[in-house]
Amino acid sequence: MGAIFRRELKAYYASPLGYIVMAVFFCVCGISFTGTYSAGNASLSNVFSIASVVVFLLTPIITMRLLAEDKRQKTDQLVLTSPVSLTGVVLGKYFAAVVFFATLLSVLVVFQIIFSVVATPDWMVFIGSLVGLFLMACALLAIGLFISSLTESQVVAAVCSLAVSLFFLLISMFSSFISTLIKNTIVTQIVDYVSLFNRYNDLVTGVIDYSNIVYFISFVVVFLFLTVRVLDKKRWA
Amino acid sequence: MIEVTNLTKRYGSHVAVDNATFTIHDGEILGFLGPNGAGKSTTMNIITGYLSATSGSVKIDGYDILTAPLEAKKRIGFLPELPPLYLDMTVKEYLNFVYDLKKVKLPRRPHINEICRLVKIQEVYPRQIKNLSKGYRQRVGIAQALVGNPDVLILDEPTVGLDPKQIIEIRNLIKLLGKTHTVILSSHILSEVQAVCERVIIINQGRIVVDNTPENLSRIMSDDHSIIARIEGPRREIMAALKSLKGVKSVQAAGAGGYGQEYIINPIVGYDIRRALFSLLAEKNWPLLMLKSSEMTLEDIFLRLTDGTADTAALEKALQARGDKPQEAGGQPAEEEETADFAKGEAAEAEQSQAEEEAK
Repeated sequence: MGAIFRRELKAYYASPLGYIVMAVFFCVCGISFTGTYSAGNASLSNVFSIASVVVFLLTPIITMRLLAEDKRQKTDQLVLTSPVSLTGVVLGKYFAAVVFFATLLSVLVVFQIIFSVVATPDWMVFIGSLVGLFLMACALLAIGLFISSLTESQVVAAVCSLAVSLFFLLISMFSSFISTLIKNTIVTQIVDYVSLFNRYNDLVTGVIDYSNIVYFISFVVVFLFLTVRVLDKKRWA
Repeated sequence: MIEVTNLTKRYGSHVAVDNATFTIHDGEILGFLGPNGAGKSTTMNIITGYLSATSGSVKIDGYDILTAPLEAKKRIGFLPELPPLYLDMTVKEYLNFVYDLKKVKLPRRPHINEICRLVKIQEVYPRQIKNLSKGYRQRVGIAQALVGNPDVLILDEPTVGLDPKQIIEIRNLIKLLGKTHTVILSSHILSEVQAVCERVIIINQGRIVVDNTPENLSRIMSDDHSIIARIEGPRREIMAALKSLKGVKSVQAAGAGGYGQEYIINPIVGYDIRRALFSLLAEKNWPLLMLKSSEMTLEDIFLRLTDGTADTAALEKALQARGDKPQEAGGQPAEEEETADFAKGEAAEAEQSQAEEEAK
């Protein structure tokens, strides 16, 4: 697991893709931060709301390579015939994506520190937002990894992950609209349950509710489990 | 030791490997021979645990690849058909990655250096794999299989894409490794398997057709000596004349074009018809433009072994040993019987060859 984790993490910094993702994220957050700062507003809430949408668009690009590329290059023949458990392979790849994403978030910490020099921002809101954004991204990365395990093509993996990401984003945005449209408690409950974004918004307030954290973690566990099963299928079927 | 028992792999209705049973002992170099799509790679992928079998089992040193995959995989070094290289890494990074991946306990630097020396990749060690030539990539692939010094090496067409000099080097390397490792290699080049392997398994359409030593195989081959002759003249008369020649069993007309017509002449075993052929053609004044003995290709052996028209004693014996035509093998009990017969047949064959030697 350690070897795979190190290789995958290095691969992000060995290809232009990693830098492009970084540049896009830093650029969008930076522009938003400049706007907030020059308006004399010492809260990162605007930056976070833009960053959270960008995350939906960037996570498919972070995960598309992970398993699809291995299959295309046939390097999975090395990985899967080595004395490593499938869970180890999946976790190694997943944590590489998570750590890469965590480095992106570092820019938000820098912004907060700048604010704390010139004003007194609310740290609880910041930590809540940061944790929320991180956990939401973890869930999206797990979905992306799962989709990457289903195909040999990075493009297919990216497009499908993006579609799923957008589905989660839109269903969250229109959840109240949907519940007014369809007056059915079950539909409302289901919509509410799959609204990643709403859970994130709960955390943004700065109140760290453990049910939300457990929600995201269970999301991750389910999709990582499914990914292991997809790899295992080849060995049994 | 590798034990493969009743291995079958189906892709839908297509049977890629059909009830294969064989055992490979420690220190043996086994060659898998077969045309493209015969099931060589599939068998190897199953042995290494990359693919599953539809039924049957594979045991490496007693560890089942399905139920104890980690223990079994520890003992295997695998070079797939396409070397599994990360193109964005340097050779150094890659071999170190494989070292970590396989959780090797040997001292890192000396072990990797030793492997690089063996497969001669020291000069490309710091270079990126995507910039290497096919031959070097293949060698890095072999190096990867050697990391951790596994007991069993499984090499899927290890010499493909190499130049003739490299092929010889790699063959020598495999022979060297065979002294301390159990090696399975696949190939569709008969001479390669003959040069390197102590035992040959020929697979066709997923079935094991022959499991024998290369010596026996080459005897089978050398007993056959059909001749290809290009002769100018009236075709029908030539055919008739050739057929009436003493010692000729059958004649087939082959490729025309250019000058004359090619004829494939099958003599009865033990006859050398070349002199008689020359006299005949000289007498009739039909110019002989070319005369060569047909090299028995792997395809020919397959055809012979699978359609049952083999004419040499050894080949008949081999067929007899298999019980019947290989396609007709039935279910489980029949298979067992067949194997037993096969063992007997082999023993008989060995006895016969011994007797022949004594007679000499």
